[in-house]
Amino acid sequence: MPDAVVISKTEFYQVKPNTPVLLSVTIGDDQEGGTAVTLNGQLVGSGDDIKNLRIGAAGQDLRNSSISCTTTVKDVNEASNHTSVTYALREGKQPRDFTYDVTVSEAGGRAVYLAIFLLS
Amino acid sequence: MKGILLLLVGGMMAPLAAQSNDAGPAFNGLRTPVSPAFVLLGIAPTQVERPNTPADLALSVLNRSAAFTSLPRDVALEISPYWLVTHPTLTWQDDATRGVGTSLARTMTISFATAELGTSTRPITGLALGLRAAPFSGRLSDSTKAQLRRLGERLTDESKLLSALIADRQQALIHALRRELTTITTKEDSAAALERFNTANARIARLQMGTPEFKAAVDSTDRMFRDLAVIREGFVLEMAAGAAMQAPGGAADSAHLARWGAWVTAGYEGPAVSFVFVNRFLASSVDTASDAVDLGMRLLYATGRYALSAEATFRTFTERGAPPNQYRFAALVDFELQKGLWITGTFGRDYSAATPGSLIAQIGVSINVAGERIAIPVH
Repeated sequence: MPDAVVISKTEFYQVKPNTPVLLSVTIGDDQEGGTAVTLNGQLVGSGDDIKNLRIGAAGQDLRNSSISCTTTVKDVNEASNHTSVTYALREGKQPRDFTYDVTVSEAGGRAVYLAIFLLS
Repeated sequence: MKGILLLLVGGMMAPLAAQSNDAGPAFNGLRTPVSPAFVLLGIAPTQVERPNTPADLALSVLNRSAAFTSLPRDVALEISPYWLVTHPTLTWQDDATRGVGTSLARTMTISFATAELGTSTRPITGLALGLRAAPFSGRLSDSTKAQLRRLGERLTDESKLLSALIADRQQALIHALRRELTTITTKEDSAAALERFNTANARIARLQMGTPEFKAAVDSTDRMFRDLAVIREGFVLEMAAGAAMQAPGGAADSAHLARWGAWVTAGYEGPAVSFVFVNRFLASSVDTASDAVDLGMRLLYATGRYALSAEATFRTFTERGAPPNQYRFAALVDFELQKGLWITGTFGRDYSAATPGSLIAQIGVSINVAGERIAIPVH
């Protein structure tokens, strides 16, 4: 099995003061994957189907915090070697979707996405 | 770019009335082919180019045609138009069931091939184009869904492990980036700082992915899902058509339609009982005597260790003065003696009952440690 493709992406996201944000992760291209989510290095959620994961406690100010998502996607789609992940952030100043994609070199290959969201 | 090696397959071009005592291949030969163009051209390419992106496709065409200055030689190309581009919102859960439109789009493939079919003294360039699609492609089986969910859990565990392994150094990098960003005033400098951060972050991850702990986790997942096959069950309907041209001497003026065909395969795969119906039409302007329509049906009952099936095929030749109609019948028994070791019995009659050897009575042993022993409609 070839080495996994690793891609790292960093984005800025503006939050509302003292308000948690919601995160959803979509594994696209008919592939399967799993994600670990940390807030300032502490695990706050994980799974293969993350929908509206609340990040931050009620009243917590998330400015100057960072959300790190580590997503591993395995190519299980016999028709395509494309992989893609969409991270959707809500409840900030604006809803934002961040989509990344990469093509693995052969069937069954892995892609590891490292997505960092710098909150401000 | 992958090289292409084309092997001529005599069987593909043999007269349709040829005898075949091997029941499975005889019936399966009527099913909708994956690449109609290759079948019509009578080739079995050992390597097929399957471009993943529009850029790959453009590169293949440009390379093979010498930038559109010549007819591409020895090409075996298969394209899935839908999968040439990425579909970030399409989860496997969304693809578990399909409507007719989505099924057509997601299963459509276009095959294209060229090959040298003649001899050194009488060269003939063959060129074929085929289309294949499934208006109905069943639904994802419950066992496949369960396997994919288990795989998702394992990939989540891998992600958690990697996240923990890189957490400290990643946090240090993030703090350094934040500090650097406070001193930056232009967008270009900010973008450059982010680029440096991403490069360092990916490098840290790659280093940790090389640790024995992480490798063991990956190896464990790969072992567990080595035989993962995405199985679709229920009603399946596949259609294909194609045409092949021959150009003696490679001259465009001499090119003529040489062979064409169409296939329909319909099937239903249930937990134990399945059936397949096949219909094939093949015609040739070179040898019209073998123009024929084939109809076939296969019923299968399978449990964990054995399978019983019966298949019948009927062939009618379409040309005046052609041989009379023919039919073929076979019953098959497969029993798994131990994992991967099957004993197989085949009994029946071949197309020409009066011909010596037309009685089918075979018992054999086969080894099949990977994949499904009994292939039913379309997966």
